[in-house]
Amino acid sequence: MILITGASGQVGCAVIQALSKIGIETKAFIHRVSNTEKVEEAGATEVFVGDMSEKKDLRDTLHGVDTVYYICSAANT
Amino acid sequence: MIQIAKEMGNIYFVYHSVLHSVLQDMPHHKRKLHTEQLVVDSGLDFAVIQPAVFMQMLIPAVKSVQSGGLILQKFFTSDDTQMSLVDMEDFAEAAAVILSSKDYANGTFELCGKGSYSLQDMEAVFSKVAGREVKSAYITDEAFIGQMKIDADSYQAQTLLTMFRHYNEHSFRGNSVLLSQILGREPHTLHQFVSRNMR
Repeated sequence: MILITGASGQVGCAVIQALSKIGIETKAFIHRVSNTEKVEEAGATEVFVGDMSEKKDLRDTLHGVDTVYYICSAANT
Repeated sequence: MIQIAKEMGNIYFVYHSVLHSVLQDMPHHKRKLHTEQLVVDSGLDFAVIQPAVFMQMLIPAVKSVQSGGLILQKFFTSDDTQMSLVDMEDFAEAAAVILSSKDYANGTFELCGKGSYSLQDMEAVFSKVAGREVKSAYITDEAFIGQMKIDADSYQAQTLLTMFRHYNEHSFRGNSVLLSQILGREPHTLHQFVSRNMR
């Protein structure tokens, strides 16, 4: 299972879609529950709604994950 | 996130960075390079992916030309400026390969389309696809900030304006050999991208 952070962005969705095409399961980490449909439409197998600054959320989301694609904007904040 | 991944153990950690993160006059490159250092030093199996500017940044220009307008752009203030681009579809396909195989572990991968484009090159591509002469117009800093609806003094605004200034002054070029190898084919050209999106 591959975890994609920043999953609801354009890059995150494109990568989820590309992984889905080759049959690889993904877990989409999103901040807002309203983005669930967007990442599911891209092909995410699982969706985790959480806060990247919360250690508990990070530990919880990493369960069952062997690979992380860490997408985090460096220009927005 | 890196620290938690280390605690969990045996995680292949792939970081989404930026092409030429060594260019430290751009604030977001500075942050990206610092994170790259943390990833490489983490002890985890890692990969760093460094994409060029995405062709998808030109979608508003495609829409404008489609409706009979100009190429509205912020990359070029000089005839000498050259930009390399990558189609997000190619990037995502290659990223999926890197993510799904640890054969790529402990490497850094620049993902960039072929060649580079001047403003004249870009106008020529849009003209050919549109079947008419297409000219461009430069988006001023003020207009850009207005479109983005962000505070002119914010980190985001200053970072983006610094980035565009850097591109304008120095160009931003990359190499496509690695992307071609990973894809097992040539990356999409700007002409292919514009044709696909102007249908």
